[in-house]
Amino acid sequence: MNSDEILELWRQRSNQLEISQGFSDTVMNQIIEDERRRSKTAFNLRRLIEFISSSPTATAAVMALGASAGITRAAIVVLSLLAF
Amino acid sequence: MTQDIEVISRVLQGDAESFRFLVERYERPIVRMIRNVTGDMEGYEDIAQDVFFAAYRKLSSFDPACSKFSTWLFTIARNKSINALKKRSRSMSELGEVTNGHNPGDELAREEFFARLDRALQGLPSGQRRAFVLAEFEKLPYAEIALIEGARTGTIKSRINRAKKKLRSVMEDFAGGVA
Repeated sequence: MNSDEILELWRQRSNQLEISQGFSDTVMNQIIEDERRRSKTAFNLRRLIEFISSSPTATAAVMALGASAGITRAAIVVLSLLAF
Repeated sequence: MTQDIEVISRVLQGDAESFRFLVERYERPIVRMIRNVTGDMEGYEDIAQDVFFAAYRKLSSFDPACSKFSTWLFTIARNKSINALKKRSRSMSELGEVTNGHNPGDELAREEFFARLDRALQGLPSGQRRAFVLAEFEKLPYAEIALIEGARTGTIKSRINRAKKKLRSVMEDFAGGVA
């Protein structure tokens, strides 16, 4: 028996690989679960944006929050400069 | 090939279930390649599942003008195998452990011999091992292996030849016993 014949036997042995019955199901479940999670996250984010833009109170609250964050940041910068 | 592209376009249009066709078509070569490259006899299916999952997530980046889908999938499998091996960092010094004296007619001895060949394969440098597995077990052309490995065809040929040379000493041990 030469090296090529041995290699062929080795290859045949390797081809006798057993794959779990539910391999493709496991992969597909993982994919579908991931899709569901992603669409849920995207949906929630979209809903939040829609809510903010449709409600004047929510829009005002977001703007006030943004303004106070900006004022706080500016105040910190000014105080830091004054400390020098 | 054309069928793969049709399925991929369906998946990209939102029909995730169509991806099952690609999983079922390529599960065998991918699982086999991972098992042979990593030598991991327990976790190879988990790695293969990761490969298909990653392929699904990155499907929009697949460019049929650059490669076949199978080549692209083997590239992901190659990278996942390398990562799995890095995590495991096994000692690979069993190449020299081959001994004479078994009876090749004996099924048990034959199995032991193939187990030694498997160990010898795992003892090869990873680049040589991957090139050898893709060429000899998966029967991929050198040009395709070069694409998967991101190397020149000449480099791939040389890796395969070096791998064969090292494995030949193990094979000759068996061939000598049969002759």
